[in-house]
Amino acid sequence: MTHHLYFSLIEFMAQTGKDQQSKAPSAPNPSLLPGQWPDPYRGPHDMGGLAAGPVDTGDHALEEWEKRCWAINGLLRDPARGAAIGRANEALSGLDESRRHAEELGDRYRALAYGERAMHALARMLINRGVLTADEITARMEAHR
Amino acid sequence: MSATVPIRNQVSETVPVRYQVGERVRVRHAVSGGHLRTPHYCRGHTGVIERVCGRFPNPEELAFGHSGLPSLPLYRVRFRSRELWPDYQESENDMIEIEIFQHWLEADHG
Repeated sequence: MTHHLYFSLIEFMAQTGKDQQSKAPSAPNPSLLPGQWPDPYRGPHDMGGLAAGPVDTGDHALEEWEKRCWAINGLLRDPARGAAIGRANEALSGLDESRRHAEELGDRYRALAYGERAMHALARMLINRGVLTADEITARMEAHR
Repeated sequence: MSATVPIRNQVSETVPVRYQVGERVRVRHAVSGGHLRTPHYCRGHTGVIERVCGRFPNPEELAFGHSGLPSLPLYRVRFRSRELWPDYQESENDMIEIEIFQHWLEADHG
């Protein structure tokens, strides 16, 4: 699913700027952490002090599509991009805002891989701001299926 | 102290610095309907103001696409590790410092 979302957002970027996606992303690697989450005032990201099992300290090389997820997010912070679609001087993304949308994914926050999470948060942010509609994104995702 | 705090944004309203270096503060519990950034493990615990970092846009407003203005004082708060982690086995002098916005803190008179 995320890959279809990825393609649809890549197309959106092509519309607002010059970025073109080049190759298909590889399969995501979702990792779920065990344990309950009893406190409703504790976000899914707020893991300090929880038992997390052994920590993999190896290098986590990002896949090409994951790097592009972050590149898209960064470019959307440039107000010049907003001007290209009639939203002059409006940064279409923000650090705190993307964190909020990622954390509001709830259980999906931990079920999704790092780059996937960023794309889902970005889609929610663009819908929330009225830049894209959910239907538009869904239609483009269907087209890539 | 407050006179030396740099102001990052041009806003007419300036939120006063409420706490001074060395003052004891407690991290408030869930006080936010929005984008609360205090780590869960420090909530309800007391620490000491290590420094006033300056004023920065309110992340709870930025998180919803607003300007975050007026900027709020941000503090670096120093906690004893054993205060945060009751079963902490290392030196009792170990500290952890967390940067926390003013509206997520309260004075600790206890």
